[in-house]
Amino acid sequence: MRFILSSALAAMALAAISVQAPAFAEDPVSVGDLRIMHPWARASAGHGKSGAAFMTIANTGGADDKLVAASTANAKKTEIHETTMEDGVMKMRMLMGGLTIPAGGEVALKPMGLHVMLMGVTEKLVEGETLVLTLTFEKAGSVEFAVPIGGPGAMMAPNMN
Amino acid sequence: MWLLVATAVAVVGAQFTIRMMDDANAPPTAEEQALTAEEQALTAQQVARDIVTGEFSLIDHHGNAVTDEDFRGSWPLIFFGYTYCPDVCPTTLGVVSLVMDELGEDAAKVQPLFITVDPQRDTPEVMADYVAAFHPKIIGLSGSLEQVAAAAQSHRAYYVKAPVEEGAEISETEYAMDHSAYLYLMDAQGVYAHVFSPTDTVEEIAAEIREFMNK
Ligand SMILES: [Cu+2]
Repeated sequence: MRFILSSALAAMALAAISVQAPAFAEDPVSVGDLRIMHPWARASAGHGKSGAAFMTIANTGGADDKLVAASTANAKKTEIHETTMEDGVMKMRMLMGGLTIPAGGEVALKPMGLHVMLMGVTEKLVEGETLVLTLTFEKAGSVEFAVPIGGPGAMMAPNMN
Repeated sequence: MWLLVATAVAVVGAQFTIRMMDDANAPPTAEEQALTAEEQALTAQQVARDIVTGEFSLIDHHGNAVTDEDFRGSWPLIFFGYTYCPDVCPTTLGVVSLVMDELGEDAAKVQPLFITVDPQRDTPEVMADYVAAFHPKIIGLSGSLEQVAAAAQSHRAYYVKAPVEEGAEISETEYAMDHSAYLYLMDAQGVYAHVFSPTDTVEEIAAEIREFMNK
């Protein structure tokens, strides 16, 4: 239950870009050997200049791939970030060199761990709406998909509550 | 600027590490080693009470000057963070909101306070909009750089401005704040009672708060 739009521009790009809007959030978004499952983002609280998106990325292929970039029209900058806790101190840093999605494995981006960080959000993220996000992988190429927006302090995808 | 470095006292059980200004990496004394885990926990609790004074003088999200003394009679549940934080702070404020729901009638005695460690960006107005998104009872607190530093120090909370990209320059507008992510529970007299980690569950936190309040 999804539609795929092919873009004339994509044909000219090195990697094909498919835009996917799953009818049900349970449907994984596919790009090459990768499956992106249960994407979600948090609604803006207050100014909402920063935001975060979460998801699980599975690699059904026989070779590692790497998430190298993320983007959305709704933020000035989009980066892959890691939150770490050391002696009770929380730090958030950009993940340098991308995020490896191991062959046959999966990586969960979730609160207190990894997230797609939106910096300079241009339009507030509203609970119940969706955000369009593009992820670019080293091998699988780019994929654009809809990310459902949950509450400002949500801990999981809105459809999974 | 004050730098809190040495990890000095660990409260057994709550995994609470209090950072103190001196006495770096002191090895445990023979006396300390002789204590049982339970005794150590009690001692650590006493030490925490002595050094987490919980004093502050800040500006609430309505623009009023407030101090810790204004909250006597209720049990403050305090978290340090900043509104540009996309992960730990919304996670913790989400947990605090659920804890308040879980506490039901007992929530009337609990006062959640969110103290910014980034007063340059988090003015009282910014704090007002932010906390309202989570729970109507949360009070956002800001102030001058000095006021915030003093509030953090009286809780032995640590924070520092940091570049998002390791090693990069800190820009005027775009930066992260590394900060302590503990949730402090103070009693109705303003005395330190307990500290929670943001990874504790809503049920655990609510149950422990109830236990403390019923002691
Ligand atoms: Cu981030």
